[in-house]
Amino acid sequence: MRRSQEGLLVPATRRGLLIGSTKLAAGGALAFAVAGGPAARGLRSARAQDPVSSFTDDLDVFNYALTLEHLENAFYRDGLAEFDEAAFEDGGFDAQVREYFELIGQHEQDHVDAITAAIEDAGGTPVEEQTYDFGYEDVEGFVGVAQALETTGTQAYTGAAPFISDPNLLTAALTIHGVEARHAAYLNVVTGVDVPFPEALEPGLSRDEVLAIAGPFIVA
Amino acid sequence: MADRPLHERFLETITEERQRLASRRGFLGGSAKVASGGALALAGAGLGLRAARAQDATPEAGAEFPDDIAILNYALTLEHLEFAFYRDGLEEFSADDFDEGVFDNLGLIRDHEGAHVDALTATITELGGTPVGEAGYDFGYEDAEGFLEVAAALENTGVRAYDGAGADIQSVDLLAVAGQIVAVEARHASYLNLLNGEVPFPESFEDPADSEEILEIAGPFIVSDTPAADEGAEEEATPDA
Repeated sequence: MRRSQEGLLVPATRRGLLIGSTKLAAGGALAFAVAGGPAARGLRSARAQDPVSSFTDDLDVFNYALTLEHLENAFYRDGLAEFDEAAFEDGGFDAQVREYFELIGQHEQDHVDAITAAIEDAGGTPVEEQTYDFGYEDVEGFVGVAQALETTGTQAYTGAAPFISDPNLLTAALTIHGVEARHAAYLNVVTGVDVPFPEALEPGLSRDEVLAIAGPFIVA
Repeated sequence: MADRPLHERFLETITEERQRLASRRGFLGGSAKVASGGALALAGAGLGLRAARAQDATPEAGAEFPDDIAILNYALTLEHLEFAFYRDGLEEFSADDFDEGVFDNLGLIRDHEGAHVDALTATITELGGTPVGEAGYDFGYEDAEGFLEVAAALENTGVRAYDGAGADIQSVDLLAVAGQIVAVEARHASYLNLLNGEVPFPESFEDPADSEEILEIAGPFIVSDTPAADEGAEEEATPDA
């Protein structure tokens, strides 16, 4: 028990201002860890997976987010060009599902545009869209990949957001994070692979974990 | 009138914590008021985040909360409200009152809110603060349909509250936890919108709200300082005139 609790200690402090409060922070994490139930499990695994920031700065976090948003945006754009209303119907999905997929695709495009603009404003160089292969062969496969992408996207933001230093950028990331979580819950309903909200606390994924999941989709 | 107890509670907590932790005050001058500015800037995607920084420079800019404990108590106030809402409502209704599977999912949401209450309470205590307790609520619904409407309103409000307060959290660990909670609130909100025939994800970006906006929305549900069950017991012991 003691060892796993010590594993929760996170040396990084936000804004570099709060050296004296590191202990408080760790205490907070401990309380969550011992609070019991799914909450405790969620926190412990998340902290254990990402004990220190794997990002050099906020621009690094935002380009990481942009990498994922490009992937999602291309996924919906190209997939919806391939599968029309009839294809969704043939796959057993009602017309509303395709409409909501269009809306999700629009959100991802908006996220790409906003994050690109934010990176440029901050003097950085936004990463560009790459070439992807999502491996689906029919509309059911397409919907299944959507569910996996949104879940991963949500948990990528959950894992990365705490390491954003600038409060404006942090709030911006949070406003995207919530929307990805909404997509993920909806896609759980559509696919039926899981309940819409499987945990009391959303697990956070580390950068390495996310890239291991998303990497195989990127072919060039 | 109805929002006074909550408002007083906040003030009391904030005053206490300000006295206790006065030395930590002032670190984050200029970091508040970003919530809605950030969202607005992003909503007009091409504008980027520069507009948010400009708003940040208003003279009143300063942290909305004196410290992390105050933010946790703010979150706990809302989680108490949500948990009581589902706990009491699900006792009132049965699975037959909803479409198939809905009752079970509502029970899951109730359990999540309960876990959030427990976790926040334990954390505040661990940090040396005094966790706020449950209040007495009146959610005003009269049937299962009304219950689902209030549920959606509460969950969407919860997301806005966490998104508005998140940037004021100083500890990386606590921010991580807030992020883990808000994603789950957003999942709840998505599902409840769907049940109510609303778009589960109405905007490209969430709409953060500051505590005053949240108080305006949640305050009217709060009717007393103590849980309704306690009041009921008192009323029974004191016959009406």
